[in-house]
Order: sequence, then C-alpha cells, then structure tokens
Amino acid sequence: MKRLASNFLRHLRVYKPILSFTAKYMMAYRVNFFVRSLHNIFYIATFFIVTLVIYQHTSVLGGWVKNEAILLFSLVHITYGIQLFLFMRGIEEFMRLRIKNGDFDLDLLKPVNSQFMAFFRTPWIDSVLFTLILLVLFTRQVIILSSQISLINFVSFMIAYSFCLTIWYLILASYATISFYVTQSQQVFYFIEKASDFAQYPTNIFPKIIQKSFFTVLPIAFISYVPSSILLGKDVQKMWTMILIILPISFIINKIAWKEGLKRYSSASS
Amino acid sequence: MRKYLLVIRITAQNILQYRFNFLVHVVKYALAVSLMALVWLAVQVETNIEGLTPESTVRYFFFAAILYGLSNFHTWYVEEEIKQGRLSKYLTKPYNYYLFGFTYQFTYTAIDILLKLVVMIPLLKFFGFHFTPSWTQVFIFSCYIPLIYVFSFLTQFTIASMSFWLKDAYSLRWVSLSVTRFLSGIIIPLSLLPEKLLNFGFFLPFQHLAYTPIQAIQGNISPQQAVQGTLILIFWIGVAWIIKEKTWQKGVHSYEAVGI
Repeated sequence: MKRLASNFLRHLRVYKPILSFTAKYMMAYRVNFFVRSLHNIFYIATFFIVTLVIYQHTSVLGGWVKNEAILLFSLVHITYGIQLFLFMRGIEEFMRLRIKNGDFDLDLLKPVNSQFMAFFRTPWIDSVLFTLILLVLFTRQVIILSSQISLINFVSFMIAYSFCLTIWYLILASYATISFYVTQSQQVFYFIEKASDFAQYPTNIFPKIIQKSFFTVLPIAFISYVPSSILLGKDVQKMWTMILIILPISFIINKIAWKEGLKRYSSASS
Repeated sequence: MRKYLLVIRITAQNILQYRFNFLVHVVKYALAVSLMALVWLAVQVETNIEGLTPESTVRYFFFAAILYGLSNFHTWYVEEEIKQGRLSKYLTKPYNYYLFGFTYQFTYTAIDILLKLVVMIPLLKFFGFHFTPSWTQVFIFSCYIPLIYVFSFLTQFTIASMSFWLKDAYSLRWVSLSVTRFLSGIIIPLSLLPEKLLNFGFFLPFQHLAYTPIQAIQGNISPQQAVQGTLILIFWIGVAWIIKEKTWQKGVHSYEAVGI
C-alpha cells in the first residue's frame, strides 16, 4: 500500500510541471484559448438542440423523460471534458504521430510508467470552461430530479462513475496499441470519438446487438448511461454487475495489449 | 490538367497505402449517420411524427451519409502549410495551390463516397429497405453533388486561409463544420424544426448541402423547388469564390516564411 501511494505521488509530481507548462502555453495565446473553448461550447450546443427537438416530439425515449435525458446529456459531456483534459489528446497524438515518428522513445526514457507518460502528456485545458458549464447543468438536473435520487444512490453513483471512467480509459488505451501494428491508425481513435457522441442517448433505444457492443467492444454505455442509471435508480443491480464484470476484463486487456505492443515497437523512424 | 491528374493518382496511391486507416474513416461516418437514423427510429417507436415513416427515416440518413463526406472534410493541411512556412514550396511551382488542394481533397471525397456506397447499399438491401427513385430524381440529386463539394471546399479553404493572420484557424473550422452539420440537416431532418426557420434558411446555402437534395431524391419536393435550390447554391458558390480570392490574395501578400 505504501509503495502504491509513493508511486502515485511520483506520477503526480511528474504531472504537475506538465500541467503548469500547458497552462502557461495556453495563457500565452489567450484569444486562441477562448476561441477554442467557445468552439467546444458551440459543438455541444448543437447536440443539445437535437436532444430538445427529440423531446419536442416525444415525452419519453427508451423510458427516459426529458429531464433525465438532459442529465444523461450533461454527464456525457462532463466525461468528454474530463477525458479531454486528462488523456484524450495524448492518445490521439500517440496514434497519429508519436509511434509513427518514433517520438515514443522519449516517453520510454522517463522514470515513470510509459503508458502514463504517453497518454497523459497533453492535458487539454480548453475543456475546463465547458466542463464547468455542464457541471452547472448537471447539478440543476440533479436538483430537479432530487425526489428520484437518494443519498445512497448518489454515493453509489460517485463510486460507479470513477469505475466507469477507468473502464473507458482502459479500453481507449487498449485500442491505442493498434498503432504499434499499423502505421497510420488514428482513424480508429476518431471512430471511437465519433461513436461516443451516441452516449448522449439512452443505450436501450438501440437494437440489442448494438446495445451489447456498447457494453463490450465499444463501451460507450459507461460514459454516461451506466452511471446515470445508477444515479436515477434504474436497473442498478444490472449496471453494477456490468461494471464489476467489465472493469477487471478491461484491466487485463489493457495490460496485455500494452505489453505486447511495446514488444513490437522498433522506433524505426527516429 | 495533367499535373492535377497526377495529384489525383498520387493521392489515390497514398490512400491505398494506408487503406486500413481510410476504411475506418469511411466506416466511422457511415456508422455515425446510421446510429442517428436509429435514434430517430426509436423516437418513432414512442410517437408518430408526421411525414416521417421508419422507411423514409432510414432512406433519409442513408443519403445523408453519402452527402456527409462532400461537406465534412478538414483542410488542416492548408493551415499547417501556411503556419509552418511550407507554403513557399507550392508557390514556386507551376500550379495553382487552390486547384492542388481541390484535386487532393476531391480524390479523398470521391473514394470515400464510392466506398460508402459499397458498404451501405448491401446493408440496406440486407435489412429489406428498397428504393427505386425516378431518373429525374437521380439526375437532380447528381447535379447537387459537384455543387456541394465546390461550395464546401471553397468555404473550408477560405477558413484555412485565415492561418495567414491567426495562430489557430482550427477552432473556426470546427465551428463552421458544426454549424454546417446542423443546419444542412445531416444530424436532424430539417422538417422537424420550426417552419419559419426552414423558410428563412431556404435562401442560405446550408439546407441545400443535404436536406434539399435528399428531399428531391425522395420525391418530397417538386423538381422546380429542387432547381431553385441548385440556383441558390450556385449563387453562394459565386459569393464564396469572391471571398476566397480576396482572402487568398491578401494572405499571400502578407505571407512570410521566416526561417525557411
């Protein structure tokens, strides 16, 4: 336990200067920072309008009423903001450039976990603004739906959400190892990113086969549907069972995929 | 002309070299639009939307997937070349940089659409969706295809040209793509929006980038209305061309490839 804690602190110490450097860089180009933040807000707003138009034509979708769907929507984009801040751009850069150009060598030389260094090296601070806005929307929805949400549900949600984020990261990072085998594979990342747009609709509205893939090979249900269901007390047992099955599996897949990928890395272009 | 044909050949070879990446790119958009169709099918399970049957919804999003590639591409390479000073090597060569980008992007778009058709037509047949439009409908739809591409490339190229002055034109490009995606009717059939908005939007280029041609091939609007749509699009192509010319000329004048 002591070793785990010191390991965590060491990674945190490495992360701090990365974060500070990125923040300083972003603030050097403040106009760009705000334009990029606005772009994200605009992007999310178009999806929000789609959700509102859907609920103009129906009062319920897959058993989710409008306020529940807005809660689901806000959580998807909070997750998007968190992952963008932490690892999304790192993974994208890794798949697009770092393996192809042989720059990954630099990550291997650092005295920290190579996967951490490769994926967490590019925090995207622009996501902070829209994540905060969506956090306000999420809190508003929680207050509106407070009659449905008990304290136990909320605590259960918080734990489940951290597990779900871990699952999403582990699977995404496992897919990133494709770049050890295929020279240009960044479209795999964009494919997953695009598919994750559909996490803002209740997973149960899709055909069974797609639902199954959203819980397994493309686990976008864990971005929002699973934690939101737990928060709202919908199929709580089923959702927890899915988390407890998928979490260890994704952990093992990630370990194996990373280890095997590293064996393939030759730094040919560097 | 031969040099641009060469650009097409080299780009096609490049695509074939990284075919896995390109195939995933094609499947990505096909999947996104198909999932959107499933969302609207799910809405129809809950309620009856006037003028939208499950069959017409699937058909709508099938055509939206085809047209998506014509207006949704990223001219990031123009931005990179300006920002990093690599534009100089193109300016000294005996060809037009705009046409170079046009043919380069055209090759990607053409192969993208062809592959989408190969993937999606059997899929539609497999799920039992049949559709036999008249020759007039097919003709009108086909007329829209080059116009959509020309307009989209002009706007994307102009936005990318902003890199002459901005450090980061990327956000502008993304905002324009998000607006286009929404207002063209690719993620939502525009008939579901308020009628006033639809009528006002008729004079703007956006709905003619997807909604009007899809309505035309489905026979939901008259050939006259479809022709009006093409004329409006041609007008906007003219406007976009003038803006592009002015922007590019000013940009090249202020361009400095320091350190190259």
